Amino acid sequence: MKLMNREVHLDVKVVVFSVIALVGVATLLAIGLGGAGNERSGDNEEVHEYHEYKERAVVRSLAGPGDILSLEQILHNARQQHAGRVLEIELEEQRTGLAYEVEILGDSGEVWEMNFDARSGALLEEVEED
Amino acid sequence: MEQNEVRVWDPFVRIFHWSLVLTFTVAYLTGEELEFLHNNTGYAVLGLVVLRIVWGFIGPRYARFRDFVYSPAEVRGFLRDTLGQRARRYLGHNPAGGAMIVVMLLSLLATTVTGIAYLGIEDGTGPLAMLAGSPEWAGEMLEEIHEFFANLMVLLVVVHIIGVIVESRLHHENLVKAMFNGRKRA
Repeated sequence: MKLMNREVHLDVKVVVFSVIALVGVATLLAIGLGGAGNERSGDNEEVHEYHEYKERAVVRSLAGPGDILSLEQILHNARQQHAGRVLEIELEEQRTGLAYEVEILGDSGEVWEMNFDARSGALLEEVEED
Repeated sequence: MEQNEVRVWDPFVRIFHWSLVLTFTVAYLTGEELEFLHNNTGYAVLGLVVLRIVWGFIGPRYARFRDFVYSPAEVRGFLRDTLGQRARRYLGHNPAGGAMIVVMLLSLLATTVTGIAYLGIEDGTGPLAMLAGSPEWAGEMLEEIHEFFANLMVLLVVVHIIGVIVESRLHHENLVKAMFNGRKRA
């Protein structure tokens, strides 16, 4: 009788673990595949939503115009560093303060990532990505 | 079930094995792009590994660590015997297979945890989002470790498959089939 109970108990465990594994994997795969579809068509919107909210909030909280430089000004600075197509611009909170991160695709296919201080417009860092 | 066959791999062990094959493969192939799919399959891998570790303590006999964790000396002895074509047959995992499971589980833990930490630092998202704002070198280091263990896993998978082929031939049985239907010759 005791043995019988153990066997039954064991089967319940197997079922519980198997169902958790299957449902978990299927759910994550489905969500992942859905997200992957969005990523392709929606240009990473979903992945970066949190970022955008946070950054907007930061930008709104700034005292007023003139506190950080405009996107246009930063673009102007970036283009003086490197000619090419602008791939991405982000306003980020970095350890040193707010900074614009600009990615430019150069004429010979190289990608430059530049960080500009959002207040002074000074070039903080410049790296060529691979 | 044929007369001389016994159930060795319980359903969870089999589901775990093949789900891991699927999720790890997808996660590995989407490493450089399709971030969302990569992250989710990565979470699935971590979930599977955690379940498997728990199962290693509470699961049926052949699923337990106690059944397949042998001393390094025994693993070496088994590998020597295999080279000499005289390794004995184990109904559960043989010592080398058991060692492979332990190394793979640890490697997968290292891969997933560093991946999640990296995501937390770089994107400020995921379970370790509180790591956001960590110095840049920490993120770069995590990325390196993450990639190292992911690539190590590929190497381990290759060795694992070679081991399965060698042991299958040596004992005239189909170990891949056994991982599907759970049954082995008694």
